[in-house]
Amino acid sequence: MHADSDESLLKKISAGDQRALRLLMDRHMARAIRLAERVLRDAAAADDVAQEAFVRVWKHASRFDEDKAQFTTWLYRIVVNLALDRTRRPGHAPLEDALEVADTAPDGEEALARRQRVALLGSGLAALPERQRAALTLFHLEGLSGREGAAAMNVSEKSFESLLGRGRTALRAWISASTKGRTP
Amino acid sequence: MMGKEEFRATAMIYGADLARWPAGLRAKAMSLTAEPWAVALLADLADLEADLAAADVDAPTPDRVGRAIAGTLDRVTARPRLSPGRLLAWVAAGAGGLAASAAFGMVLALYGPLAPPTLDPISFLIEAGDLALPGLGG
Repeated sequence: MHADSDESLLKKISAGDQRALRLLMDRHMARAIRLAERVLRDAAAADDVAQEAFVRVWKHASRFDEDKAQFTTWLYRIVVNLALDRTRRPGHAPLEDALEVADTAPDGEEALARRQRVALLGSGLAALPERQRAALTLFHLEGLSGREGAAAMNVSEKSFESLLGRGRTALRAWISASTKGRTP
Repeated sequence: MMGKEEFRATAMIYGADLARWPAGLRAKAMSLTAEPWAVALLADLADLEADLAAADVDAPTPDRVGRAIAGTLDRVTARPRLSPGRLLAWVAAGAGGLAASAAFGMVLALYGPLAPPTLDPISFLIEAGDLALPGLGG
């Protein structure tokens, strides 16, 4: 194990070394925030989830088993679980910020149509069931394999595939219906 | 050999990039990838994935990351972890208290309930001599 590897830092963290925690956060906090925001579509809630995830890392570092998973897989699982828990709280609603079409500079109808389509997809993502959004995020935006994504969500590969398929189908339907002028 | 429906279902799961399909399914699907309907489906999914990437949230700024790190360290300091050493100290303190209680119980069992010490009433009497004022006799 490399002296500064994530796994060696976790050993130090489990012994109470806050500097090791700081170093691990320097490496992975940005990733945790972005993943949480991808799932939650809410920046403030994402910041809170990412911080809580590292508090969990601090408290439970001794439970990490490097023979079973990489630290990043463990971190993904913590962040996704916390984010999904957050979505179950009363009052949570993802922000449809992607609905805003930022500018209408005269760079052609095609570019404008593309921006509108992207904005539409953003709102479609926000409207997806959280677990489908999490699966699409892990597979397409985080680049995890089916097996890694399933591990991060703590579900079977079959369940992960099902979430991916349903999420993609729902997004296509959303875009198709919305471009025809109706919301599915 | 994969059928059209299986190809379509697999594409809806794993997307437009066949390199990301499981190897076994990819091998079965290769003979269909030149079919016009398959080309159209994969192109449509590729557009969707490009839009998905374009609709992604921005990476957090360094300032935001720094605030999150500082906030986490505050939380860690405010909520000290139950380390093995701390847990051991708590268990030891609890066990010590329990042992003391048990010992006290044994004393009670052996010697009966503790009564207030029997006071000799005489000891409470103030001897006249103690109050005698010098020069007044007594």
